[in-house]
Amino acid sequence: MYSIKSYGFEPHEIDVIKKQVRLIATRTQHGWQYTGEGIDGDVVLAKQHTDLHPGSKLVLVGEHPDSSSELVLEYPIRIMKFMELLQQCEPSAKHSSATAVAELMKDKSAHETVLLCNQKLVRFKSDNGKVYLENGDEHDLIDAILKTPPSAITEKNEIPIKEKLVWSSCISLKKLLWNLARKEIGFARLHWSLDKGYKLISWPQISEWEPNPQIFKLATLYSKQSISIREAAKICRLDNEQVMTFLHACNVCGVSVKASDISSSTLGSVTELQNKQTLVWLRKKIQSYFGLSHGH
Amino acid sequence: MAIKVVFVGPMGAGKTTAITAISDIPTVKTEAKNHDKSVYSKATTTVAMDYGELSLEDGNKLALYGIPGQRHFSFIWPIVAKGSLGSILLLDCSQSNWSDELEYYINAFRSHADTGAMVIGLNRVTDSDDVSDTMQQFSLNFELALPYFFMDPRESSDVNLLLEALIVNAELDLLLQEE
Repeated sequence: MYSIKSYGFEPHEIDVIKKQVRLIATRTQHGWQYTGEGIDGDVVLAKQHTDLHPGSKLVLVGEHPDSSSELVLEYPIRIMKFMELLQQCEPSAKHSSATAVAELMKDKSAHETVLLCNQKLVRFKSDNGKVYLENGDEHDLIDAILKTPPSAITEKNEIPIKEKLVWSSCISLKKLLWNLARKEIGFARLHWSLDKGYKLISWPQISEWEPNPQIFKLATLYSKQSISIREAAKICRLDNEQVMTFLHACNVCGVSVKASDISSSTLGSVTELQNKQTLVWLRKKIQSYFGLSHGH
Repeated sequence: MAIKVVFVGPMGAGKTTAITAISDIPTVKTEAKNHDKSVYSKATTTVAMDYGELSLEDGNKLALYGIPGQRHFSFIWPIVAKGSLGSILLLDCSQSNWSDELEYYINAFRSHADTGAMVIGLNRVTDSDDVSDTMQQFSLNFELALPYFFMDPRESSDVNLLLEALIVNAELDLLLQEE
């Protein structure tokens, strides 16, 4: 998901931009989201030249915008022009927040990097594989990184911190990567083919990263056999995008995904059971325990 | 129709404890004095098998069998495992040879492993990253992506999560068969 921010707009103008982005979001190759006023979106709409966060793209908006600028939009913004512009400035497909974080944390000898993500200080500590937020909870931390352009998540933008800060929340790198990747629908759509067969080479720690019965089922299915995204979505009653982001998340978290020919499954002895209903009763019995331990 | 699940793994892995944690009936145990303390230093061990049950609302039962973990009882394992929903392999990761045991038991219950009807419960894990790396390497070497979970066999919710994994696998078998 890529972010659009505005800078220097009135509330009524922001309302219009929000509505336009919502309409456009499903019609572009990447997912786009309006994330408020600020200078650190993937794209920043501004009425005049402004110094932006590294990695952000400036789009000048006005009745007669400076035509010498690379990206301009006439105000009032026409939706088709807006869509064309987003397609034009869609970030390079090789970048995602998850892969940018993984890259930043790859060097385990580096002690830590502090970055400003969506106005919040985030500390990436690679020696213990943990990521910290100065103020807020785990969700705020994920949100702050998602709203930061992937290209800005780099050691080059390190903020030097002299005083000792108190970090209010912390998340393991793998759990963070999983959560970021699961939201990168646009990126996943570009990298995973709907009809190609995929198989997991090892088991993802979903009980820690995303304890959800549907995802549990999806992980089991992809561990059993090579299957297409379309077919897996049908069997697990999920959207194709959810399956794509699942595979993307596995990949980012180091759980290898192998692309291969679609194979028929090797069925177990359960197929010999006369009464399939017994499984339903068994699940009913077990689910109460699952509910207690995993909050579903 | 009665269905069963087998708890497998070496001596001291927590099979009897796991069955006791979820069984609706007092576990039928065959504990005897452990004369093989070179393998695992606990006072007693299972010499025949453990048995527990889960009663289902339709009147059926899920039988929970625990195999004796000592390798000289291996002749009995296929007999116990026959016709089961799958096997739950428990391993004590505080033992230095736990990854050898993993390989041994997967080969011993290969038909379950190959059909996804095996789930692994990793007990007494102190360094989860290290254990995860070993599991990942094992999966790559053997081309088996078996579900594994860090767990405590005393906790019913942990044991039920393993059972849940076998149910999901069985449900998928049925769905794929219908496709």
